[in-house]
Amino acid sequence: MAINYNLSFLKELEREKVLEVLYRDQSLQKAEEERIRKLKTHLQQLRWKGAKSVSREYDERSCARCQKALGRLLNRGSVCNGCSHRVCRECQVFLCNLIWKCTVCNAHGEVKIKTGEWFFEEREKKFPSAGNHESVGAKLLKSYQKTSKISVVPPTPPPFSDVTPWNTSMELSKEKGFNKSVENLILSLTSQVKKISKSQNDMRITDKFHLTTDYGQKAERRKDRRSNSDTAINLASELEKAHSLHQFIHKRKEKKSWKEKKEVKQETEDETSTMKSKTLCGSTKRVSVCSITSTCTEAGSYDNANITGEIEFAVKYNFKTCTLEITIKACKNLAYGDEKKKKCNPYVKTYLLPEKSHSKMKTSIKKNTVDPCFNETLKYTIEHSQLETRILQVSLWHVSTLKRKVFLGEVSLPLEFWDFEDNSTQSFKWYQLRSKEYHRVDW
Amino acid sequence: MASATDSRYGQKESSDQNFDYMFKILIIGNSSVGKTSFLFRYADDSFTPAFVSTVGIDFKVKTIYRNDKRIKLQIWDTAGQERYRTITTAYYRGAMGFILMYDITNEESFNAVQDWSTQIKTYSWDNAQVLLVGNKCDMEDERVVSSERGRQLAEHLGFEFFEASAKDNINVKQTFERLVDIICEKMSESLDTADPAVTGAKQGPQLTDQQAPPHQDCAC
Repeated sequence: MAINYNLSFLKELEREKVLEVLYRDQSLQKAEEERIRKLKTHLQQLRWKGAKSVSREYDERSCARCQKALGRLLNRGSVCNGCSHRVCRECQVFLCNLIWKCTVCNAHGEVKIKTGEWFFEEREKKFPSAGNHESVGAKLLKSYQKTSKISVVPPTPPPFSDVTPWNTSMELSKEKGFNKSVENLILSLTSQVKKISKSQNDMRITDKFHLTTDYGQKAERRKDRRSNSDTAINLASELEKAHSLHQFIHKRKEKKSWKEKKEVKQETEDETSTMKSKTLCGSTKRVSVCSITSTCTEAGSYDNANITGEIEFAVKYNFKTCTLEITIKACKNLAYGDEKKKKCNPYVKTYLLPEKSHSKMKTSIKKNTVDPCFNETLKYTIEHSQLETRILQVSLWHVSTLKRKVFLGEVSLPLEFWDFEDNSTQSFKWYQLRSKEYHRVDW
Repeated sequence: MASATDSRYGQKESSDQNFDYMFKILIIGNSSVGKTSFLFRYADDSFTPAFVSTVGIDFKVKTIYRNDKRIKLQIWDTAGQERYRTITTAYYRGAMGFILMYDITNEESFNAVQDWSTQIKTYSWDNAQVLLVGNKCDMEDERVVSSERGRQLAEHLGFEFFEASAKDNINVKQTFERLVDIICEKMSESLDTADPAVTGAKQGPQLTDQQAPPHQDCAC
């Protein structure tokens, strides 16, 4: 039952998250050790006050604890069940049912349970080697500090203008430079944020989902599920990562790079095919993720059309802003939502399954076309580590005049093995639209 | 600087030394059975239906008043996913009690209970106290694991059993308090049987007037 105290298998962002927990645990443990130390010192002092330590001579007719003289008939004192010393009445602590211990024995027992020593003793019966009480967290931290290179990095982030939005590999290298000094910075930043914040509610509201289209629709706001203490950390790191200035620059560059990307697309297509074989190898583990999808079938009534056509979109993750960006480009050969009138007003809806309630996003509705051009980016603010449990579901719907929805097909992408550090996987691709029976794309 | 602002939740909870015991509790079970929600309900009295899978481990601290004692609980929330298993199992050894959770609407999570129990037996101390909890009991329409099956399995494994709902706040507090009570019982047992000859004196004749440990009553 060898336990591997190693964090090396974790991804960078996961490690940050775990380290945050470990440091929080460490500060708790420090406070706890201090408390235990005080308790033990107190017990020691109580012992020394007593007359009857091994090294000292004492009178048989005196109390072992307070050294008061004991009488032969009255006030004789009694022998303590624990230490076998004779003590006076004042130095007896009654527990229950006339069972008592002398002050020291009682304190000893109390210290034992208050410090948790009883647990360690019990545990040693099973794991005799686990003599030292070093916690798991301490071991994990130690192993991390050994492996991580300690380098001096200025606490200020590098200028944003240097970052080209689509160059994720460059961003990644910066992520790797994340080390202890920056972590400490975030921790101190966190405490500052806590002080600044007037109420808990201030902390809880964070922009979770942005919906940016060509028309600049309103951004949705959502309450963060994390409690105050956790949010503070998130908020702090978000403050660092999502600078408003940076986002501004980023958006502008994004628009500019639109045209460039179209050209690059052709070249990257070959690379994508090699990626297919790579991801296939890891597809065995996907079964469990897919089972979640089956429970999340679309609720509510809608009509079905014969599903035809394809959709072109790109899925990329921006490590800087912690956003998953799904850029819906276009569709072709869609089925008519209204077969009789040969009408189709399509729009795209996305979910990050298994979550349904908060993860819905839509594009605008295109009128009278089966080859719509969307060119819209749907953004989810989500931590990278969370993505692997998610399935991106992209579905197409037709809106009829009576607002009745007609299902035109969907694509489901489990994000578990999506390589967000590879540019080719993140480029535009055509996906065959499927009916509801298909829960994932066959690569 | 006014120290009052620092004593908000979290800061205060972790540095507060005004308590008698500190218990460490671990919540385990398959992914998405509701471990994190259960903990959030208990520690913060909050609930969000949003699903955010736990990365590795996390913990929350809560101080409660029980049996005339202030007990500080450090409750560890573990990731249910297999890939974090090396981290999560490392924490078994430090835990005094466990909450083993499954989802009553998810057969798979119930079938995994046996495996989780084996993990506890392997990595934890012999007296590890375990409560089996069937979460999401508010979703009666989607139930696939009957209360009876849950109870039988708990009996078979020697655990106590609760059905609970983090969403509707059913049996959440009760679960933790029962676990705390059981740990308290184990604690006083260990104290009763412990060798008291550490008080700097020779060993004398001992009265064997020990109290029988109070019997655990079923909490169902």
